[in-house]
Amino acid sequence: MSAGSESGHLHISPGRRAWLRFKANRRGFISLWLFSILFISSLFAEVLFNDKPLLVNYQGELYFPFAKSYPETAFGGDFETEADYADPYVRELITAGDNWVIDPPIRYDFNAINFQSELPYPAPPSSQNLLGTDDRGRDVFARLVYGFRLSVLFAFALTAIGIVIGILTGAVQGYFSGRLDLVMQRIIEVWSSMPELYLLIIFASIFQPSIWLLIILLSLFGWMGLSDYVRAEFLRGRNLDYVRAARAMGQSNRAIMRHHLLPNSMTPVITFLPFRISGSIMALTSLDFLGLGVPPTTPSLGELLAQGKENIEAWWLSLGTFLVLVGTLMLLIFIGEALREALDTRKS
Amino acid sequence: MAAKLIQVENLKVTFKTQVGDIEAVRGVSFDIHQSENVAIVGESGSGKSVTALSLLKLHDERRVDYPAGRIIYNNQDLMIASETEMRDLRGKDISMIFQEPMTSLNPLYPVGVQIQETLKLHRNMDSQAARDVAIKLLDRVGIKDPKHKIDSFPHMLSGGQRQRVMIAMALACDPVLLIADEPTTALDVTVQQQILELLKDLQAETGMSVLLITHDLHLVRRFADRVCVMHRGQIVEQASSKELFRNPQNKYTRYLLDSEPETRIAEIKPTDKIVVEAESIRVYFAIRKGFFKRKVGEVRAVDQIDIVLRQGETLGIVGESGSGKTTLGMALLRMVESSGRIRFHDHEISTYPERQMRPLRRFFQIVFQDPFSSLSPRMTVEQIVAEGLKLHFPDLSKTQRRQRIVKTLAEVGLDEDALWRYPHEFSGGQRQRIAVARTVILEPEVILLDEPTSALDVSVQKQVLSLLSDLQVSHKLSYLFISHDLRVVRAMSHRVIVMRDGKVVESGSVEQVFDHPQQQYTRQLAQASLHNEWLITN
Repeated sequence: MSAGSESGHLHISPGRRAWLRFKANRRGFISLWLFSILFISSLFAEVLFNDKPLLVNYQGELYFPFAKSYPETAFGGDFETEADYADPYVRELITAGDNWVIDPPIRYDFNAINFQSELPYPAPPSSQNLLGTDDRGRDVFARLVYGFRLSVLFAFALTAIGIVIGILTGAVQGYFSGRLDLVMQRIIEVWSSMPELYLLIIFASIFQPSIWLLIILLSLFGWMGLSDYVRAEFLRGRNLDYVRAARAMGQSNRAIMRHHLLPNSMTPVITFLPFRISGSIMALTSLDFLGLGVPPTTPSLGELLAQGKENIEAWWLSLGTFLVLVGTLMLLIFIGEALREALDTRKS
Repeated sequence: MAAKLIQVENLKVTFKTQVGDIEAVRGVSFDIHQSENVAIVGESGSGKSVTALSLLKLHDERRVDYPAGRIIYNNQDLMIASETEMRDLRGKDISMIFQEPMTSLNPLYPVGVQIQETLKLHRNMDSQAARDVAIKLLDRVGIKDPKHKIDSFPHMLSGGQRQRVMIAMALACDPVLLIADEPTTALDVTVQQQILELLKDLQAETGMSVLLITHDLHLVRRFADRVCVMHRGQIVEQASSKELFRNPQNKYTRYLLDSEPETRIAEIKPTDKIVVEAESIRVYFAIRKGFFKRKVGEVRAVDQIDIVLRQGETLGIVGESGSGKTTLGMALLRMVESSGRIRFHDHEISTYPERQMRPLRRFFQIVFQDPFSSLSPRMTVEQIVAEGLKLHFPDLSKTQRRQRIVKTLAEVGLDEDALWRYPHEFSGGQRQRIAVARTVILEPEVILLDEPTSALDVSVQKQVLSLLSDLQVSHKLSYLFISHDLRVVRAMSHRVIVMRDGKVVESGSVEQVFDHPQQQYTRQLAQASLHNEWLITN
């Protein structure tokens, strides 16, 4: 009996095979490309969307206002405070004579207010503000891009923390089972019956609300759903023959959990991954929408939605945010689906 | 000869898959006469079950094509019958029983309700009448105290009883044909005999025909009137049972008949080194009840057993399911807690804590019954085989490790390209070879073989057994060989112990125990699986 006579993909490493399986899912693959382009370019938002110029040549010397703060006096102005490059006076100073300026493509960041707007705020899309301004005169395009970046980073962090804690507790419970499992299970039940939203409201009034506070608070509760599934997988797996074989081999508990049980218990983790990420984005957005989330200076999709609700006739607020949210969630789910298929070694 | 009941002509079945069509059945023709027992015998993948399911068109329509063939029943071609017509037939004219009585019964309903369901559906009975008939049926299939048992749930019955319930359900509408798909495979040997006898009695009583699907050629010898041997989707030989066994025509049939394990074991001298010695091993499980988990009794899974195992020796452990043979093996390897003394060379391993035990683990290895669950599905073969090496021989370089893995794989009959593949890409026999490679690479002294061939086809069984014998000789291995299949144990073992309810009923050399059993229980076991066949052959 000889093995492998009929198979063609012999010397391909497991990781490479998973990548090939991922690529075979066209929708997921295209989604990954799109998402990567959007996300990576949003990481450079400071260069693309900024009210400060990238480079100023003033009297033969180079300045980098987007990275460093210069007082207005540096450019021959009157004030000791940081130069406001959107001010026509400052602009005149730095462009006069041989001086020149390189501006970012969009000359607003998420907090810059367009004082030159001809229309009252929220102003509709114009050549100055491509997607209009919000009710405080800030550029919606810039806020959307910064908000997208923050939401995605927030979701990644929250999901990663939730998965790590969830897997750890689930694995320990499932593998050692017995009394330890019983005690932890009761603790989880008590913990999960805490009113999450209520706690958030209380904490929002005690502490200065910030993105870090939100991550910590949501992480305290986010792991429980997953740990139940991982626990069940470990419980099922610990009595399987290959685990017993590993024990007979003299493997330590930690190695058995890590090499045998964990890879085979990843199904719930991977299945829920896209939904957890999009769920985290939605959590942040809804908290901001309710005004319980990040402070108003932080660029946030939820805050934009709330503004859209307040100014229902300003369609550019709600529509833009809506499209960004739907697009992000859809791309993430498609990628997650493809990932799930790619990590299933039983598929050829 | 009686009239033809059902005619199958040139039946072809293909499965539609993503990689193309697979021809499972390639032109099969056979007849079943009235009151006849026909057996289709073949190994897994031969298309025997596919053929049987086709008679009732039980395949998933979206996945299966019937490119050719006719199935004539009652002047009607079932191939072109509508789904409604088929539904009338199923369970009424033609009924079926399956291999796994555990999963074919719904665990949430009492068995009586499930029997009554068929009666109500096909015979329009009301609940009371159906219940009375169900009780009669249970009585007829040999369930004691049927009035009481009718309200039992499936988990309260033993495997044999569940299979009897399945048969009762199948008989509910007096079918003219009963299709039995591996009806005894999941059962103990003595129970297997009883079930077959029951089928034969019922057949004589009602005059129905039985189509028996099985992989075990010897099982059908006394049961079937006619035997069809299937191989790769075709019937390679079809003859009356007597004719087939006396004078098999086809090469494959002869091969199947021949794949009985043969005795090929090396001599053991009483002076050979003792590897494992155990005295009065006990494994008791406490039965606890109530809120405070008070101990109310205990299950004596292993009760006062002594064992001596010499180098190069195979000790067979036989017994029916639940007799404690696996628990005994696990206790000897310190995989379950036990009391009593266990010595391995100079180590009193029964007193060793787990930490002290771990470095010794490599000397004790296990090969499990089910090669599908014993290999981690997310690891490549190389990772699986390398795991123990990394643990117990950490000094090996990467290339040295690779060399040893390739060498061991070659030893168990696998190519080098197996390294990068996952277990699911291999057949059952190949997987069992991987499992053997994983153990042998650690240079163990004792291997616990827990039903290593029970999940395999007969011909593959033989190959794996001869591999195990070869390895035993070349590596001077000692085997603890657990099996319910006495033929295999007889072929492999030097000495044997017979277990029942945790106790050793009889022990001694293979010849002593099997040819001159002293105990009634051993005689029963031997009769069920060994002597009948031998009496007929000789």
